[in-house]
Formats: sequence, C-alpha cells, structure tokens
Amino acid sequence: MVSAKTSVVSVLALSLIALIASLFAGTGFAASLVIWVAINILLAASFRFVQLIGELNFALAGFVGLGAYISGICTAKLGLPFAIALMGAAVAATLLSLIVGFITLRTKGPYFMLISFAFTEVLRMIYTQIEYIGGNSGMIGIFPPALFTDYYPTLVVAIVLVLVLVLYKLEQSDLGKVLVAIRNNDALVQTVGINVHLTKVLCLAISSFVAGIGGALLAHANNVISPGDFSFLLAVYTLAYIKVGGESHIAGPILGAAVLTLLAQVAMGFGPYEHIFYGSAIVIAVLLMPDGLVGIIRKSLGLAPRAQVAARH
Amino acid sequence: MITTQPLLKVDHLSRRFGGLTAVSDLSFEVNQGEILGLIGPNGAGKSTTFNCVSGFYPLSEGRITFLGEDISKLNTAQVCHKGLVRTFQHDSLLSDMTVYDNILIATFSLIRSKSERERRVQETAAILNLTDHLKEIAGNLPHGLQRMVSIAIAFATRPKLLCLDEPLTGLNQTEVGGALAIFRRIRDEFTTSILLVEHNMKAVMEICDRIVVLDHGVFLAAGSPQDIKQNPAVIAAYLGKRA
Repeated sequence: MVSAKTSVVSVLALSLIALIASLFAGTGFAASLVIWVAINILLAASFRFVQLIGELNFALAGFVGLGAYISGICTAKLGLPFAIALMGAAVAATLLSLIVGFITLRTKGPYFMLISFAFTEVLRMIYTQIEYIGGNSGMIGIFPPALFTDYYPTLVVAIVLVLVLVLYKLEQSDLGKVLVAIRNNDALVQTVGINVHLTKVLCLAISSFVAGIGGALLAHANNVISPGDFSFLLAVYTLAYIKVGGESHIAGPILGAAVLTLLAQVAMGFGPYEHIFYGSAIVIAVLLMPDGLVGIIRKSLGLAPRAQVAARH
Repeated sequence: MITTQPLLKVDHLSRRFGGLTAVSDLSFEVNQGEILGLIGPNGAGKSTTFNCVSGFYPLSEGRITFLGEDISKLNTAQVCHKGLVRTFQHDSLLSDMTVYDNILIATFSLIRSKSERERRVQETAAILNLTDHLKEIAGNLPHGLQRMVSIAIAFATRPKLLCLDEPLTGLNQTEVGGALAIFRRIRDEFTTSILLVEHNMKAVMEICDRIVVLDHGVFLAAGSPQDIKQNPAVIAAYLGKRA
C-alpha cells in the first residue's frame, strides 16, 4: 500500500523536479515543449474538474480562447502588466462561465455537451468577425513578461503546479464530495437541501477560472493567437489526455497530457492527418485500458481500481 | 403522542401530464407524530403525489402547506430546509461513495460544524444499524442495507416529515420487522412524522396510524387500518371488483 505521506512526498518531489527541469529549458524548442506540456496538464485538470459532476465540458476551448484573447488585448493592445492580463483572463472566463453555466447547466449529459460544443464554436466565429483582435488572422505580438523572458517555462510550470494542487484540494474537500455526489445521483442530492444547479455553476466557474489562466499562459507562450486555435478540437485533445491518463485520479490528466503532448510531436509529421493520432489514442485507451495509465500503475502497485469520474459518459 | 395540528396539508392537489391526469383533486393531511400510509394499486398516483409534495413536480392545481406555510412553489432543496425530506423507490443512494459519505452529504446544507456533522453521521448510522458498514461502498451492500442507507440519508437531515417511497420493497420478513422497528423509533424518539408509500399491506396495516387510499389518481378512502381493511371500495380497487 502507498501511504498518504508517501504520496505527498512523491508529489512534492515530482513538482520540485518539474520546476528545476524547467529552469534549464532555455528559450528554444525544449522551452516550448515544457510550456505545452504544462498548459495541457492544466487544461486537462480543468476539463476533469467538470467531469466530477458528470459532464463533458467542450466549452473549455471557448474559455481558454477567451482567456487568451483578453490577456492578449491587455498586454499587446493596452500595454498592461502581465499579472493584470492573467487575472483579467481568469475573471473574464469565470464571469462568462457563470452566465453560460446558469443558463445551460439545467441540461445534462449529451445535451450539455452539445451546448458547450456550440458555445465554443460561436465564440470562435465571433473572434473572426472582430477586426480589433485581428479577425481570422488573429493577434500578434503577445510576448511573455520581460522579467521572465528567459524563465517563462518556469513561471508557467509554477502557476500550473499551484492551480492543479488547488483543484486537487478542492476535489478532496466537502465541495468535491458534493460534486461527485451530484454525478452519482443529482436528484438525491437535491432532496437533502443542496442547490444542485448553483453547485454545478460553481464547478464550471472554478474550471473556467483555470481555463482562462491556461489561455493567457498559452497566448504569451505562442506570441500569436488565432480563432482556429480555440475550436472544439482543443477540447477533444484534452479529452484524449484524460482518457489516456485515466479519469479516476487527478494524476491521470497529468500523465495523459505529458505523454500525449510529447508523442504528438511525432504526430505532427502526419500533416493534415494529425487528428487521427488523437482519435486513435482515445479509442485505444477506451478499449484497452479503461482506467488509463493511472489504472495500469495502480494495478502494478497492487491497489484496487478507483471509481471512474465520468460514469455518465 | 399524535397531535391534531396538521404538519402537512394537501389541498385539492391535481397534477396533469399533457392529457393524462395522474392525480386529481386530492386532499389529505399528515398530523404531527403520525405515520400515514399512502396506498393504492399501481398507477394510483402515489409517486406523483410524493413528487409534488417534495417539490419535484410543480402542481397543476391545488396547494400544499407545511406547518402552515405554503410550499407549493418551493423546489426540492427549499422543501428540505423546511423539514420535509423524501426517499426514492429506485436509485436511492450514492452508489460509488462510502456509506459514511452518503450520510455525510445529507448534513452539508444544514450543519456547519465539522464535528457536529461527524456526530450526526455516527448517530444516524447507529439508528439505522449501519455503524459496521460506514467504510463500505454503498453500491456494494446487500439490497436490505442499501434500503437502510437511503433512509439514513434522508433521516440525517432530521426532518419533521420523512416521506418514504416503498422502503420495504425486496426486504425479507426479518428485514421488514427490523425496518418497522426503526420507523417507530424515528417517530417516537425524534417526533418525526412519516408519510409511507408501500405495497407490503401487512406492514402498512401494522405500522400506520391512518391510511389514505388512492385509485386512478383520485381519493378513494381514508381511515384507520381496521377501517381501510374492511372498506368495500378499497377491496374492490385492489381485487378489481365493483363495490
């Protein structure tokens, strides 16, 4: 058995290794790779947080895009500090998610999934129509903060570590228990006096706060953003990270995002057929390792399998 | 023990689904400290009545008052905060979670103190004979214990009125006896009234103070178990003969 103390020490050690490794990433391709892995981990953790209530949130891509554009406008257009851009992105995504969640989270399952998908695509279409943010061509000149030019990967890794830890602590908290209970049986949760609808909206808002920051970090890493970067495919890739890594533990999306992001560098050579890589990853994961990489690791450590997160899907 | 002041008052309740009238012009009362049975053949409108009383369905017509307050337009969570909680006939627990967490969830919206919640879970588990199963996953328990978990979830809120939807279905004779003893204890020690929908007529006759009978969504009869047993209209409804 792995004790809780061992788990905490392992997580801290791995976090420290990730931080130190990011210090040596430099500014070239390795740096980009570190940033992509870290951001994909963050997006996967954010996506999985909404899975706690049993929903597949394809609006994630929309909120990431909003975060990217808001932060881009803040720094590239308005010349505001990076910290304000980061918070602006998070707040904008959270506020929009509160409105969208309040309206749409009365639906669930495939209905919510389709609405969230449509939301992402509508936002993407809106970006293409706004000249101020570059329309179809996108925005350019979104640079990392001058103070962190050489250590942007470390900044990204540090922010991602903090946010993933916060999501993990929330999952372990009373709120997390209520979210899982809602996924199990939302009607029953209502009968014991919990406002299920508002709790679901809160869950989406927390996830979107994180997604907004993810978008801001991505925009400042890539320097250029365009509407096409934030289509529903972004959410599909994120789902692939979770399916491959495993849904039952937050380590799943971390593992899945790291492994698939690195392997995807090979897939880029497939050109337009790149998407086949992600599609195949989901199919193979679902068919051959339903508990993902985490399930394989748990099995090798002799631990019992955990309940899957997204039971409804 | 039973006072005559009504705890729950259902006044001319009707509920329609399109062209189908599931419940029509139904009126009855549950008094404080009373165990009231709501019975009727399949399709009589018992579950619809339950869903209306607990805030799951809006009423088509009529009014429901609880402790003198109109709760007709409240949702399920709000109804719970007034002191009325229900169980479900099916899907009545959080099957992926431990028994402890199942009961704990019921305390979140009502109790702020962590230690008080812990005490409530332990006390509720003891009453429902679940103390030895708190660490087990609820979905892995035998059927009889799962039924007790579902009642424990509702009772952990310490409702003034506990609405039980077929809580004895699938239980063996011994388990039924144990469940009835628990219902009496809940009523006697906590002065919790119980509205019981149940098909086990022997148990209903044994435990209920009064019984309301529905048939095809309309009120058929009300009275003591003895009265109901001998009521020709009730016998006809159950046996399919004209009274």
